[in-house]
Amino acid sequence: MTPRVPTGDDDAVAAAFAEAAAARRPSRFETARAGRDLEGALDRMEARRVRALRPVAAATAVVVAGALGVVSGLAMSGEEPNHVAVVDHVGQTSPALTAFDAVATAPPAAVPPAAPGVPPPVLVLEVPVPPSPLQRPPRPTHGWRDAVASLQQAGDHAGAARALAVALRSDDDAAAPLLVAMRHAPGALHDVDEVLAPVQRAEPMRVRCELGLLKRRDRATLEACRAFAQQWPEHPGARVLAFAAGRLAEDELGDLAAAEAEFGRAILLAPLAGLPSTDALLARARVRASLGVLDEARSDLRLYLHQEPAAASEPSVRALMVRLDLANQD
Amino acid sequence: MPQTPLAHLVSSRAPADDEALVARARAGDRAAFAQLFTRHHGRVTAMCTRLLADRGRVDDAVQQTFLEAWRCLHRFEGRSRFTTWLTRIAIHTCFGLRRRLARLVFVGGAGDEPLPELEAPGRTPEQMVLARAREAAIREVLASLSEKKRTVFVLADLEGLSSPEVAEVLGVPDATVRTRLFHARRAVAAAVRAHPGLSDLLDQRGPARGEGEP
Repeated sequence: MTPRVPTGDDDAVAAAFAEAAAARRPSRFETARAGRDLEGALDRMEARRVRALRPVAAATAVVVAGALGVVSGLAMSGEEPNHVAVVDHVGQTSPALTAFDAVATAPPAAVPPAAPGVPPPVLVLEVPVPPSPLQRPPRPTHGWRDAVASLQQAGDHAGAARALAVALRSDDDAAAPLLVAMRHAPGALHDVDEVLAPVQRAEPMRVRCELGLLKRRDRATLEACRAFAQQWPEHPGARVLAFAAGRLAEDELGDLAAAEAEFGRAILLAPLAGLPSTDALLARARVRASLGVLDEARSDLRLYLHQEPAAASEPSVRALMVRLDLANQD
Repeated sequence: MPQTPLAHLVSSRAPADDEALVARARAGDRAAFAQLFTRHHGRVTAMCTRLLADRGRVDDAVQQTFLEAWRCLHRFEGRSRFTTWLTRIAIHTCFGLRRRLARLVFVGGAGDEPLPELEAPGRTPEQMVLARAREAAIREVLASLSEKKRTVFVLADLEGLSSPEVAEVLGVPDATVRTRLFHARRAVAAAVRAHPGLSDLLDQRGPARGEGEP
């Protein structure tokens, strides 16, 4: 049973609760991401609406055509009414009734009289569905595909990779082909990196980071990944690439400070990417333990174990717990 | 006299702004609608977070709200402010979502929405754990309120709308809003006192009148 309290205190407690419960406003990155999601949902809703309109348009056309048949029949003074075929057009701008008006108001003399034994004329009535204001203009096509295909057919994989890198500067569609092309042209890595380095758009920066992680694994890669994550923290790939950069710094470059920074970035980006950050927490705890920052390492490990309690029995986690004097506290 | 947040929003942003954007959006200008979205996304998100309490994804509710707004924009006649109209849609969407989810049976009882990540720069892991526990407690308290009480409490005490503004949103008399708010605050206070995770709120305010006395 809930306790009853005096009214005056109720207001004070409710006010304190309201202060504590004030919900966090989303960041501009979260708003931007939600906006993109909404764009996609609007596209899907619009596509459904257009699909649903087609039968309605066809039915409207039949009704209009029926009326037209009556009008034409009257105009032909007792002749057999016309047969009407309906063509449904998506993308025309004139409303449906315009077509009807144009045909219905034409002079009757324009309709040829039916000769005996000759089938009556067929009138084709086009019923356009007005385009939606939500329809997007078609994406501009780029001519790089043909050029790349001809280079690849000629066996010039490095040239194709360079062409794709140049294309990627203005067209995100070139990202995936470039990553594939680089498998056949490892020697073009330096050229591709030079082409992409000045570009500040998300996809080129992501590809530059990924290529570095796949092929070079050096300090420049670390810088490229850091620049990408700082410039585009809301990008869905930012967290994973920050984590991978942390592993590169920890395992191969031996730069524990950089590794800690990258893992920290992966943890912070997790809410934006909608992914759990437990792997990055464990990795940062490990790095911090190696750096001798034990209190922070314990904090990370405690939070990791709070989120992944079953992991306490894994040997590597157990060893870290022992190292940080947390083994006896669980 | 200090302005309410809604009044401040309206006065500081030039009312014509929303109206002009709505007019353009009604003509099919999706860029104008995107501007309306950017402008109101934060407020709608915060409101849905608290209206949904412990059930339903906030992102889904917010997106559904704006989709519904786009779909019904041609019916918006401008008799009320766009903010009021959008708030009304958000309330209906959030409670509709809650009711639909309430009818579903989740295997293993995992029907509740997971808590959001509360990581933030400068927060230690312990602080984050505490923040998550606090968030869970707040959701439980709000979930214990009826829909009517929660709505007026969220709009008036969390979003800072005045009672006439809440009355306009809900389409009920001002006196009804005041009555509901009075009962909502009492229910919140009782739930807070009964919740062990929110005892620090009471500590800040000291013992209630009549408590601790023989």
